[in-house]
Amino acid sequence: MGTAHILAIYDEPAKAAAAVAGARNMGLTDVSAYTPAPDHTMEQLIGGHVSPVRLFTLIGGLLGCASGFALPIYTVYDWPLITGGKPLISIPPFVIIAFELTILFGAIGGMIGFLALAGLPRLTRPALGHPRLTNDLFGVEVTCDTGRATSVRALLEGAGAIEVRADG
Amino acid sequence: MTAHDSGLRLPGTIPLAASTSYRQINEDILRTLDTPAPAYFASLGLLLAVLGFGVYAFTQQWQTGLGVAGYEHPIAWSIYITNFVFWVGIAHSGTLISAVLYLFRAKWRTSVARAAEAMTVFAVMTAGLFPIIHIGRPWFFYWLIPYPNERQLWVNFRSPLIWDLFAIVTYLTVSVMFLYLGLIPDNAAARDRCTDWRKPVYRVLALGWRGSTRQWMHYAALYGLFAALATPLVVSVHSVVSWDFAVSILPGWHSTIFAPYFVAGAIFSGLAMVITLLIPLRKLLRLEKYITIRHFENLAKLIIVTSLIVGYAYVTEFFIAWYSGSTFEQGTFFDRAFGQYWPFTWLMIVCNVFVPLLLFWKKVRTNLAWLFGISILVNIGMWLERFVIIVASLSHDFDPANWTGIYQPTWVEGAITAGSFGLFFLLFLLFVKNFPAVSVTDMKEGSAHAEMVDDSLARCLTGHGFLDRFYELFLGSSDEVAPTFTDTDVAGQKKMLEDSLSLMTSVSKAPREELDDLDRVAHRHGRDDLVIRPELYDLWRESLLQTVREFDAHFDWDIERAWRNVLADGVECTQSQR
Repeated sequence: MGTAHILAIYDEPAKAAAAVAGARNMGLTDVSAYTPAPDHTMEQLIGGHVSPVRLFTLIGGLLGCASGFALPIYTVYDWPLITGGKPLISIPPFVIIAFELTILFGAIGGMIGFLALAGLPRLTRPALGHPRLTNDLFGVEVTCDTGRATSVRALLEGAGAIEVRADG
Repeated sequence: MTAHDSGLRLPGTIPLAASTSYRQINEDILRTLDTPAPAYFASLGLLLAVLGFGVYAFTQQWQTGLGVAGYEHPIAWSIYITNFVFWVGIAHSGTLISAVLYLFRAKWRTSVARAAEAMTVFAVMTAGLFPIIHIGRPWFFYWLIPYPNERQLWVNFRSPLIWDLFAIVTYLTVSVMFLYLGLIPDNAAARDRCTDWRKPVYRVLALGWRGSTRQWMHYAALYGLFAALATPLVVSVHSVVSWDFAVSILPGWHSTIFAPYFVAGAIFSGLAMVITLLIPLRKLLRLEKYITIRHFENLAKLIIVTSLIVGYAYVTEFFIAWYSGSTFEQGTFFDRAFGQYWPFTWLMIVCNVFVPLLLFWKKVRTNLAWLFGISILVNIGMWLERFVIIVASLSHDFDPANWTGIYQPTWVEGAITAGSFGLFFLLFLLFVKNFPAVSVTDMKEGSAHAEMVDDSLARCLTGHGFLDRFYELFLGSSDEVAPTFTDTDVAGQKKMLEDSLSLMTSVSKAPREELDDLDRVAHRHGRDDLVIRPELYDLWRESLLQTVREFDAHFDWDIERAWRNVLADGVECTQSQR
């Protein structure tokens, strides 16, 4: 049995939320919602976990801090040159480099984490889509066995969908 | 005011389906990307001409050498470095608005944050050109970057100029990512609406964004993290710029207050530039609904604060010069106030310290013409501040024989400076006409907040005792509250809560045209039949939130944020009545 993708379009966030809750009650696990703006109800219904983006940021930041000290320390030993009578390893100025690189690498790490977790950039066009999901409509997409497609479709329509698109 | 029935009336005075308001916001903002008016092309042409003149001047300098600039011993840093510091400073307020105010949950920032973030990026880009323009052999600018090379030489990490490189590169990268992150969902909205040749461009820039719940959650998480990272960054960047000066031993530069002094000045000048840009922008793009007088007023209030800090720093500089007992230090500051450069010093003080005091008057800070004029004067004043710090200090070094010369800028320096303004405004203009100048996402989220508050309140009211508990908390919160209600019965109390809630939420839900006239809204709801004194609103809000926390089974951080955002509008508009 193959899998079917069904996308239902709603004009009210409450209807979309009801559809998600209904699909969850049917025991469906692959349920996604598409909203034009961050939607709190959907996050409670679908999300659950704290985004691991912060872990990427932390790793990036620590890496940046380490390299911010490592780079100047390596270079002053690579070509030892005393300037201004200061010790080769002058910690105070190196702190500035480490500080900036902590933030730079932390931000880059966060960005990489965000892109990876959010599945961006996505190079293929989605099989199902609706141009107004970024405008004013709310979408609920369910992936299920083709055998259940009819009942899922009925559920999504029952929640008040203004349009249902499906493949397979 | 409608009649009050026995039950507590829900505050949804203007029921507006989320879908309708989303579509409205989408259309209002994205229509600014449509075919522009002739005035836009005229401005574009003018700015291109100014930029072209600057580029021409730079080619002259490139071929001839730095001799065409007005450098004269001991003045080896002048207008180019002034421009560098000026433009880096301009950038700072953008980060203040997008990051610091985000962390403080200042809701009004959402309308101006996008424009301010874009301004940050373009200002840093413009600033980054000046160290390169300033060096004698600009084609070797990459020698600043530490990379393994055949000369086996590394940069001197003890030099402030290298700190500067790291600070500016970090700042530019983080600002670009911050701006771009916010643009991803907006690009997707533009992609789905656009029909002309830009559609594929938005498609690429949106990275295939679909707005799934998981994407939004990661987006929100990263946005918060960027704000948390950018806040210490913005403080560090202008501190590092100030150390370019403070770490040397030149009188007038060698000072410990330079870092906070520069950071405050940077934010001050940047806020003025935000106002300078936004006043024509909202007119040009017809965004008056979204960028209202209230936003300008809040920016003006921030200008007052930073202006007072800058004024305090001026006084401290002179005081420390006197108190240090150092003859050279005292000489430099005497020279600054009464030497060859005295007109610039006093003009700077008038523009930065005295002119912004006008903003203490509400009539002035809510009048766009006045605000525009003041913001231009502040821009001029802050440019002069950097000029005075750099040129006047250098001209008065340790060798009295040098003190007689006066720095005279050449046409090349003038043209390159003008060109930098041309470049900055050109980039900004191109940006706002091709990308949403107000965040579609933030505006939609704001409208979603009003709905969340409605839902939350409905949940609270299903249980019993919401009103009693609220009064218990509110009356107990301060001794001042109880006397207000001594002769008020339960019905009166109910009316008070209804009226207050209705005022608060109506501000958020009112058609946006009305927001420009907040005074009128507040007046209608609050002042005449004064239910609670404006100064008690803080207690009122906290008591209400506490009650909601206890009664709403789904209460969490996001709902609290929605409540605070919705209430913030109302509280602010009532308190501004004082």
